[in-house]
Amino acid sequence: MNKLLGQQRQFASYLRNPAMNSPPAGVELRRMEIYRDVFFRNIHGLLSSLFPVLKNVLPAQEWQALVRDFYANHRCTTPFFPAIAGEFVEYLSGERSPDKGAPFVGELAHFEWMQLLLQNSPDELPESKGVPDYQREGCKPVLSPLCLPLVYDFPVQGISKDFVPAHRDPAAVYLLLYRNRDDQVKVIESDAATFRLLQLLGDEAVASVDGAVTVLAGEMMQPDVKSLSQEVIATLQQFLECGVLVMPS
Amino acid sequence: MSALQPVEFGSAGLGLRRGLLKPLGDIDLDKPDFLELSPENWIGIGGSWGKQLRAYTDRYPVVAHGLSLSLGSTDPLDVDLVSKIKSFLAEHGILRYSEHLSYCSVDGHLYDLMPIPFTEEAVHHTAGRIRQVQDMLGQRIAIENISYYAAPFKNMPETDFINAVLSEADCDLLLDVNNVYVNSVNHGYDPREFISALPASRIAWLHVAGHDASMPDFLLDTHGTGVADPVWDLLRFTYQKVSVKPTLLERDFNYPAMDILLAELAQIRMLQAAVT
Repeated sequence: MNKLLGQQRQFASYLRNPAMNSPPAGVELRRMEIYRDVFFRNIHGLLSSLFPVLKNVLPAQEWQALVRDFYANHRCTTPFFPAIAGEFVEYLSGERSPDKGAPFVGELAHFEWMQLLLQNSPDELPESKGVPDYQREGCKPVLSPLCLPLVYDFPVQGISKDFVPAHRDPAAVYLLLYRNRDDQVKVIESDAATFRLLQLLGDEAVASVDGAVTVLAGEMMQPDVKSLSQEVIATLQQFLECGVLVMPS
Repeated sequence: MSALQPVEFGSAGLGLRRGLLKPLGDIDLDKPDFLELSPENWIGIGGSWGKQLRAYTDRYPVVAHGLSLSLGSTDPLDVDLVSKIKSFLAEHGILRYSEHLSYCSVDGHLYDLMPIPFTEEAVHHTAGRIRQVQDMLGQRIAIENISYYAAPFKNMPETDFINAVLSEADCDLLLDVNNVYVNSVNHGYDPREFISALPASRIAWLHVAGHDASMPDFLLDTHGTGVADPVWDLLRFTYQKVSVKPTLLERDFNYPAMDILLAELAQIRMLQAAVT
């Protein structure tokens, strides 16, 4: 197998990075250039379909350079085509050449990948159970398996051809990304206090909604526990209806 | 392991792509007899796409055409992928599984098909891996002749290479008629002689597709246009030579109205009916 291994490495290394590697000897150059172009068009097309917003907001040359750098330097292990998105995000977070891509690129790609993961997830939302009795011990809604709380430095949810952020937001961006009962992926712009509430609801040491409100009121130095409680219950109800939260069975 | 008879999945099929799910749902006459999908686009997919897929695999006979198993590669065989494919085939009642006589990974995936060197060493290596896959899946698989634009390190004719792999692995052939035509132009051989040199009894099903002919002397296997006239002629020849086989139309992008694809399926059926 030694000879075959060397032959395959030589062929593939040229296709991954034709600027740095020679084509196999004895093959007409034009044929290898056709291969080079076909392979690049293929990976460029795949990534463009997985990251439509990123592809659209970056200047074409910058996007191509990023795709080229990914193909040359990242070693993809997934055999599944939708999962190439995860490979690309992994590359952006660790292996990208520093001169490749604007600062928001990594976060926008991550956000698009998360949307894809939710869209494709085999999980399903449990049936809605109406309005629960929040006063009851142990009656505690939990985050849906199809909801991802995400924190970014850039307002990735608003990026488009008409809005490309040049700087990080001074305050972090809190997003609840979720798939609803119609299998559509939606985003809610949220805040730190709501994220803390969701975290408390997921905490086993917190037995009820009231317990979560008590902790939250203390942390927020909010003396009016009653109005905070009403606000929390209204939020929970809204989240249960849209599918951010579910009642555990 | 015996080959299945054509009647088991029909005469004219269509490649199932995400972009075709919706238009395919709108037709009620002259439907494809069977569909073909790539497991690597669908394994683990739920949500609206997963539900749409299920609706099709419930209603149609389906065969699978793998993309990432990299049968000819020197990377370790992805046994995890094989076992996921096995579950996926069972879950959707998929009738047959095929892969490319190719490799798409070297120290990781490139997501496109590279030509296995036509050498003795590669025959033994690839045939051994095909046998391993057949053992794991508990079924005979079909391998497809690919289109290739260069034949590096070649030291035997392509038909000898294909025949040696088929016989050593004891597997079936998925004969892609468009690939034979594209290769015959790009490598200067007679496509009819090529098909005549293949073992008819191992041919499980056929593929046809369109290619890009924008270069005057070189064809690209794109699946982005209608089937070209010389490929229809070669398909007619293939039916006469090897008998009528289930035939699948591949269209990967640049989708025309569904009527146009159905007319191509009608053309396949007409050629099949004309064989005497």
